[in-house]
Amino acid sequence: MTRWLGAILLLMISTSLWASDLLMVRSQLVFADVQPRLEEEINALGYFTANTRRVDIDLVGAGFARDAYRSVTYGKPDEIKALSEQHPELTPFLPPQIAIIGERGESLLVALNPRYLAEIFPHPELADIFERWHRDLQTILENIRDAR
Amino acid sequence: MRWMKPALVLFCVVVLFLSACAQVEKSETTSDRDEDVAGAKLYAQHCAACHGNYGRGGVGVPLALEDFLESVSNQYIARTIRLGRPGRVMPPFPRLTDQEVQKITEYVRSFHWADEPLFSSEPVEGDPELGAKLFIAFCARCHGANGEGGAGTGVSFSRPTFIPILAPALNNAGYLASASDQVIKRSLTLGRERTPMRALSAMGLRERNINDLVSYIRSFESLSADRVVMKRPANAVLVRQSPYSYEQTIENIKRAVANNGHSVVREELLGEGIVDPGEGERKQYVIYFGSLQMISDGLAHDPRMGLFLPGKITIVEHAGEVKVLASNPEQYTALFNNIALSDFATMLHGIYQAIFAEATS
Repeated sequence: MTRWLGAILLLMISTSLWASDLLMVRSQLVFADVQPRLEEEINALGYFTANTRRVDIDLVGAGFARDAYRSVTYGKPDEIKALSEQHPELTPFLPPQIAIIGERGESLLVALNPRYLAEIFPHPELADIFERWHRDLQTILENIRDAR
Repeated sequence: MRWMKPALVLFCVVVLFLSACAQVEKSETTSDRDEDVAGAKLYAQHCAACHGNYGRGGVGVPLALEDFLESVSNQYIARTIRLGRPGRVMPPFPRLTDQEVQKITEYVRSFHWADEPLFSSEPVEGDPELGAKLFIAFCARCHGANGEGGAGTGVSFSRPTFIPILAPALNNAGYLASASDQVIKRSLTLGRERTPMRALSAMGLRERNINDLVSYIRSFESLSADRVVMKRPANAVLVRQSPYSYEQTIENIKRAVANNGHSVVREELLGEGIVDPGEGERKQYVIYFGSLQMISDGLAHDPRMGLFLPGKITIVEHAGEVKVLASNPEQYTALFNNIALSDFATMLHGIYQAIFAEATS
C-alpha cells in the first residue's frame, strides 16, 4: 500500500510539469461555421486575424486522406511588432495561432497556452502580456465552446 | 360545531407539514441539480474537448460505454483524472481540487444509469510467470508484448473512426496507479462490449488464470526503466547566428530547404496581415516549409501537431546580428503528452538542424 501511494505521489510530481500546456475546447458548431465565429470572437477582444491556412485541402488534393483542418493566426499589430523586435527569441511562436480540427460534425479547437510561453520565456516584462493573452484566449475559446 | 376547531388545527398542521416536505424536496432537487450542473460544467471545461460532449470519445477514449462504467470504480476514474496517462495524450490534472475531481467523476458516472460497482480492496494473488505466458497468448496482440498499448494514442486521425478505442497501455504508470487489482480483474473477466476487448471468461480462462494475468500486469510496476518519462528540452527554441546578411540568409534558408528535400510552402514578413508592412523597415521574415508527406505523417501522429506544421523558420536581424530560429521539436512529445510523436519530433529536429547548418556555414 505504501509503495502504491509512493508511486502515485512520484507520478503526480513528475506529471505536473506539462499540465495545461495546451488549451483545447470542443465546439458543437460544424467545422465550416467555426472559423467565422472564431474570428468574430478574436476581433471582439481587439485582436486582428490573418493567414487562415487550409492545410487539409493541399493534403486531400495530393491524395492524403485527412479530416478538415485549418489554423487561424491572430494578434495586436503594435504588440506583435514590438515583441518580435525586442524579443526575437519569441518569433517562432508569433503570432499566436488557433488550430481548428473537424471531428464528426463537431469541431476541436486547440492552441498553445500562453502560460507555457511564460514558463519557457521567464522575462519579467513578458509575464503580464502572456497572462492577458491567456485570459483573452480562454474567453475566446469558452465563447466558441458555448456557441450554438 | 365544537369539533371544527381541532379539525381546523389538524388541517393547518397537515398543510404546513406537506408544505415543509415540499420545500425540503425542492431544496434537495435544486441542490442535486446544482451539483449536476457543476459536474457538467467542469466536464465541458476539462474533458469534453477530447472525450466528446456526451462521452462518446474522439481524441480521447469513449467514456459513455456501459461496460466501462460497470467495470471501474469511482476511485479509478478520479485517479485517472488526477494522474493522466504519461505519454498517452491524457494529461494529468494536478490543479483541480478534490471536490472538482469528485464532481467530474460523478458526472462521468451519470453517463450510465447504474450505480458505482463495488470492488473488494483485496489484492489479487496469482502467479506472474504463468500470467506472462497467458498475456502473450491472449493480450499481447492488442496491448503489445510488454503492455505498451496499441499503436497510436486514441487520437482520431491516427485510427479509423469506426474503431471506438485503441488498446490501452497496461504498463502505463498512470493506469497502474489508478486501477486496483480488482478493477483489472473485472475488466479482464467481463471484457468491454462494443470494443475489441473480449471477455476472457468467455474465452475459456478460469478465475485462477485471470488472477495470474492480473499479477503479471501488476508486475509492470517494477519495470521502472521502461516507464515513459516526459521531459522538456533545455531549450525551447533552436537558434543559430548567421555570418551572412539578412537578405542572403533568407536565400540560404530557401536553398537549404530545397537541398534537404522539402519545399517552401509560404514566405512572408512576420505577422503579415496583422502588422502593417509599411511601418518602417522590418527585418523579421518567416519561411514555412515541408513536404505533404511530412505534414501528413505529423498530423497522423497527432492532429494537434498542426500548431507546428508546416515547419517554420524565422530569420531576424536584431542588434546588428542575423539569426535563424525555430521552435525546438524536441518539446513536442512532452507538450502533447504523446510518446508516439517521439520519433517524428527527432526527425523534424534533425531537419531543422541540417537546414540551419547548411544556411549559416
